[in-house]
Amino acid sequence: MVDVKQTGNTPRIVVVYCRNAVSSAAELLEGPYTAKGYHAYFAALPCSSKIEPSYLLKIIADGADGLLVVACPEGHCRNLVGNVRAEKRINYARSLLNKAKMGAERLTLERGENLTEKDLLALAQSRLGPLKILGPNPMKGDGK
Amino acid sequence: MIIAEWKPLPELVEILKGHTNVLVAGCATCVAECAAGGEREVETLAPLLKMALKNEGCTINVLTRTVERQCEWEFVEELAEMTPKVDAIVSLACGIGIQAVAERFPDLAVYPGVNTTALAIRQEPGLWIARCAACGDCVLGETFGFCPVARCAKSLSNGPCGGTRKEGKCEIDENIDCVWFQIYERAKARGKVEQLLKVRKPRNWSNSGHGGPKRVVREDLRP
Repeated sequence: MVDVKQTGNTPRIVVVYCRNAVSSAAELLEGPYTAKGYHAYFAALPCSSKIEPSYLLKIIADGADGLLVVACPEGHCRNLVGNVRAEKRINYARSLLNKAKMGAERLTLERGENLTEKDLLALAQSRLGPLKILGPNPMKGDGK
Repeated sequence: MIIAEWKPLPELVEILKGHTNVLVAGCATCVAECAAGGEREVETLAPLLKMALKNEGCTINVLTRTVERQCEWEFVEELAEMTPKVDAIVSLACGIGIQAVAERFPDLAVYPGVNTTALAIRQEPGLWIARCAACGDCVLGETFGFCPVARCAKSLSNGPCGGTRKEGKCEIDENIDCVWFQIYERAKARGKVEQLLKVRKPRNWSNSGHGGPKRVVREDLRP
């Protein structure tokens, strides 16, 4: 289970990524990671299609300021259409976040292949700007 | 299956204001099949409610539980161990399940989390279409397996009306098939179009919604 229940003003970003999008030579990032200006939590999945709207919403309800799903490029899914399904689920979850007035931008999808640890960290870093505009997650410290 | 759809989130938020511990209860049968009230939907709605209420200045604790069927007392009983911990239940079952939960736990506020809408079939992934109106006077034998009560916008017993489009679609929506066109096509394929010339008499509605709530009694099954 992704632990995002820490409080404080430092942005917390959860990165859930397809392990097939990462270069086989790269070391898989797993668990908490502290970088300059943000805390991250990395979790690898066997395929991005493993995500469910319920998991995504729970991560944000538990206080993550941002949630980034990293999938393989369209047409390059090892499981045929897993990353297309992932995108549909993300879009659905984003629509629900909007209805809850949480801001759909808290949840985003990026695509890539042969990614390195450095690439994943750069993707996480790229979320800081949009998240700063949204402000802190109002659920911070409320996670149960 | 019975199909349902989530109530609009603002409506749920409004009814839950003032509650502090809420149980979102799912049903793993029909409403799970139509992706409205099964375990996935329960676990999706729970964090969503917490966030939406937080944005309205309300902090609530949401518990979740999905039982096999909320329309069977034995399964409803499984909720009993959780009810002492909550001051309200949001049921994502159909209207039958919601009423069963409200009847079993009369001291608790029980709210519908869904609107129950039809008896339908999953036509393809992500698409459900009404097939039955539970009218109490089935004519499927005369209409070649198509229900004109549920599937004709006017529930005509002697169709089609004059509004059928050229492509065999309904005048109210070009995406909806005219069921009387379908009935005709199937009758033609079977070489039995002449059966459609028979005028069907007014339907007997007294066996469903008319004359009070429907009751079926089978003495051989009663205790």
